[in-house]
Amino acid sequence: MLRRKIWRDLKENKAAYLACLTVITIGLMVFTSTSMVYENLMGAKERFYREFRFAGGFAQVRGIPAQELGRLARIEGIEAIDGRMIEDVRVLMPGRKENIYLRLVSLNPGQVHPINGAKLLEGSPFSGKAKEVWLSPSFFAANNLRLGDTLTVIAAGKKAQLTVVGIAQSPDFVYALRDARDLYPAPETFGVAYIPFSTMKNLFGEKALINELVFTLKPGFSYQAVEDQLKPRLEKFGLTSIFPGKDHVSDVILTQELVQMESTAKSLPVLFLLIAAVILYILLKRMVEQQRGQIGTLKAFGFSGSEVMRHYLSYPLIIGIAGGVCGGLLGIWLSFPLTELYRMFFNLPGLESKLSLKYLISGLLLSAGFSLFAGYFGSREALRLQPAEAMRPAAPPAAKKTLLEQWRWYWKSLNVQGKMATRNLMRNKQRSFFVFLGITLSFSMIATTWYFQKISDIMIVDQFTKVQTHDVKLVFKSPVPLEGVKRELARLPGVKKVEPMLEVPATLKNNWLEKNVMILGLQQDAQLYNILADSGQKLTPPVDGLLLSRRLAESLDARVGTEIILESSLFRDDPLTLPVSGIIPQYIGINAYMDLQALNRLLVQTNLATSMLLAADTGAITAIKDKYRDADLVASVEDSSQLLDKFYELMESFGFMIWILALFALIIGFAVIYSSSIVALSERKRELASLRVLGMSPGEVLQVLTFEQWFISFFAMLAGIPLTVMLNEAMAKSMDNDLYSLPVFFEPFSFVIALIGTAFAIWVAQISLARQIHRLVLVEVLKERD
Amino acid sequence: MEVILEGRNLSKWYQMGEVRVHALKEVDIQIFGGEFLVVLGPSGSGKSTLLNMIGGMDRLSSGELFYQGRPLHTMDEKGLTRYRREAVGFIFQFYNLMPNLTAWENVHLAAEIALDPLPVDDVLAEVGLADRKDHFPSQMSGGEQQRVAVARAVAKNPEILLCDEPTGALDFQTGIQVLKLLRKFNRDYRKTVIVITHNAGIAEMADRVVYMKDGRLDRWRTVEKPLQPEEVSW
Repeated sequence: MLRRKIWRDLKENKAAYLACLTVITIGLMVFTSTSMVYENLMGAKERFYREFRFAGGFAQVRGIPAQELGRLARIEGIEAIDGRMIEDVRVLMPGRKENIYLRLVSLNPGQVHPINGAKLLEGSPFSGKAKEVWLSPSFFAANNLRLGDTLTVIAAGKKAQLTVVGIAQSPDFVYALRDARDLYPAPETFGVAYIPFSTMKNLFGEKALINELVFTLKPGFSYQAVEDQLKPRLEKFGLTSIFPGKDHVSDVILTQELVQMESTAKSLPVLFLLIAAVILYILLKRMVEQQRGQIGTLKAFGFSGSEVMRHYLSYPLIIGIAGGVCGGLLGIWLSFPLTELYRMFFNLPGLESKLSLKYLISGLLLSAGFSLFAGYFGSREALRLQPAEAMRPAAPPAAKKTLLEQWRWYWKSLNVQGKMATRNLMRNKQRSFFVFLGITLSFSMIATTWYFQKISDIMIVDQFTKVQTHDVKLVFKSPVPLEGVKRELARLPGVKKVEPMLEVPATLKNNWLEKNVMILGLQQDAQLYNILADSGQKLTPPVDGLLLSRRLAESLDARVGTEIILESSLFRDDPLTLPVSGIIPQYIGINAYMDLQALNRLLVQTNLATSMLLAADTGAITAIKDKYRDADLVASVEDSSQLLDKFYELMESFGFMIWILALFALIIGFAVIYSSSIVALSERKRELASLRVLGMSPGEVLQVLTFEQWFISFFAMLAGIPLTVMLNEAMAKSMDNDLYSLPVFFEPFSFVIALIGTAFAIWVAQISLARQIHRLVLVEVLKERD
Repeated sequence: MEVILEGRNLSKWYQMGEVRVHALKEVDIQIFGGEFLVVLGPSGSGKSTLLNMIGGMDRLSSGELFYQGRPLHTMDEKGLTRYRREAVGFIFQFYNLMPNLTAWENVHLAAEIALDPLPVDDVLAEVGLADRKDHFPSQMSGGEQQRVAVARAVAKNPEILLCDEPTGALDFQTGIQVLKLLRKFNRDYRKTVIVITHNAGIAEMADRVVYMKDGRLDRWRTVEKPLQPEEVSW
């Protein structure tokens, strides 16, 4: 019989329980889907890294003979070392205007179990006859290629035909970026091609040299110890950079994603379950109060306390289990498209969604646990009652003046509805606090979501409109004489301005801290690449010191005036020391900056540039690209507007995530206001009906409840502002890496959006409240004695 | 005296499952401005239903009801709200005060929405609660709470005061005090007071008594010499 009572009670308050169910469902959906995707991604990464031996360290040199490798392999701590040649070439595709690049990565087809080995996913091994390549799957798919197709590339200034015989993937290009500054992969315009070293020789002739070393470490040896031994031996081969596997771009981003996913799977669901638990607590508490008489009767009949308790615990249990099952099943379903989405960005062979009930079950336990916990605290008070006591009506609510009344001007400005509301919110502190918390969270979630959407936008757009103001950047394969090249470029039709830039890879050291970065040399009067201070003011590159990006300064623990040791085989004096002359914000990449001439003077050869920045008429850009992209000296021609377009395209496809998060926040706001309204309404039905009888309109009666909600919400939203700033800071910090760092600043518009969103959720909840007040049957309510 | 409220053929029935329950059956009634009317009858006789209709709290199933010539039976929800707000003051058996407003604030609440309210402090002084005005309902006795309820109804300065068993929850002495207040309002302000009760003793202080039975108006009588409230007994 009691079971029937449960269903009827649930039905009677179905909307409030439904709101609670929705919150649990969302929480568990996030939990199940992110946990499953995390497991898929993590599992695929570990398997792939292990089977195809992701390198523990990378070293880039200008060229090293193969026979050196045997000697290097004897260094203590090195388990194995391989050499390969990596070279970017341009692909000619008929009808395509943009620059398309392939990164040729050499491999030795006969080698067993190589480091960063390429897994052949489809196609056939190299036959050794034609110039054959295996392509990375994303490039292959994005360009609608088929096995057997040939690609025309420009290698060493000559056209060459490459035949695609397979699709393959290696662990170091899971997240394939052409340049760390790209941030997002663009598989239509950049891909990896695995190619036998012998074919490389065929393409590049004498220039075919090993230019990257990859090595694995023996167990028990630290990377640093190996680097310390390896570094001096590589100097003479033109060492440009050496770094551990964990700093490899692809791994940094993959790891970053995994860390974020793990924290999402752990934090977001708990937040939702907490909200749901509080809703259940409030609903149960009210129900037990309302059913005092029934509890008394049950006990008088001879039901034991624990039987009554079990009865009341079934409500949260039913909601918890139902939410758990719905959320779990939705989560499992969602994990499939989500994993697909990750496959678009991460080329991890074996990354696929598998049906697993593990998280459904653990999620179910989690939600049932939370719900029971909330239910227990909600119902325990009245269950302690003795039957006779329970059957007597509860004592009338005591009232006294509140602290707010001492605020005379505030108190006097209120109408009676306002006064009732003010007293009520102080009397129901628990519930008021819950509403406060819920609205604060909802507000901050919307504001934070908006902020990060906005900030990545600003970050990139700023980069292209304020920092990199050039239209075209020509990157050279090796340093070129500054003046001659500049003069030649300036003579091109449509070119308005040419500025040289010198990029020197170096190791910066402060005490035991060190960092490998590019030092950018810029002209004093540079206008096509601007160094900006925090205030947005333009700075000139220092002649006798270095400007450091903030993240670089932090990782070196350097301040203005700190003497930094610079090491590079390109320097005339190696090492040399320079003071830090300033610290600047830099959101994309980390760099040190210096005057072009001053940096040149530090080099063995002077008056060099590695890139040229051009300002040109829009019409002339295509001609410049056509003229230089196949030139022997030129590594790439970057068109800023093309990069920006690509970014916008990507942002659009990410937009829906923002909407989903905002929707979640709205649901929280709605559920909180709605459930607290339902409870307030049932508690104060008689009071509200009396107001109606007195002659107040439904709207005026509604005000008593809504005033309270808006009052709390106002302060909750105010509290949401510092919470948002804290959240933004914490999230920005957790996302900081060497590729990009997110700026944190006060963005008022995100709060306006959050205000509108939260107010909307509150308003929607109040519409249904208004409907219920309209439906109050005055006669019935007043007849019964509470 | 002029007719302030007139009901013709007032009927009200409730559908309960398959059964239709008639609470009010074809009642014709005229109520005069300024009279003290007592509606008497046992429980279930339809007197509360009649009061609900007169008070604009519920709708008729059939029949016509006019307040100063204006039809209440065709009024929409807005119109009824205005009617309750401007013309009627209610007093309930269980007071129905706002628990989180003080005595003064409870009265002020009603005065605030009325067209031509009486001064709150004066009304509270008249019901003898000037020194208790800052107390909350939970700090007052039943009699005091009912006096606040009277003050609240009176403060609106309505044409009609509707009282549903106003002494039902009070002891005899306190009940007499409340009746005195009702009489005072009736006589001093010349307002109509309608008291619904099953307490026959109260009938003797009325100008007219209406007897209800089985949802019908059974009979009515005019009281030749109404008693003073203090002379009433039950």
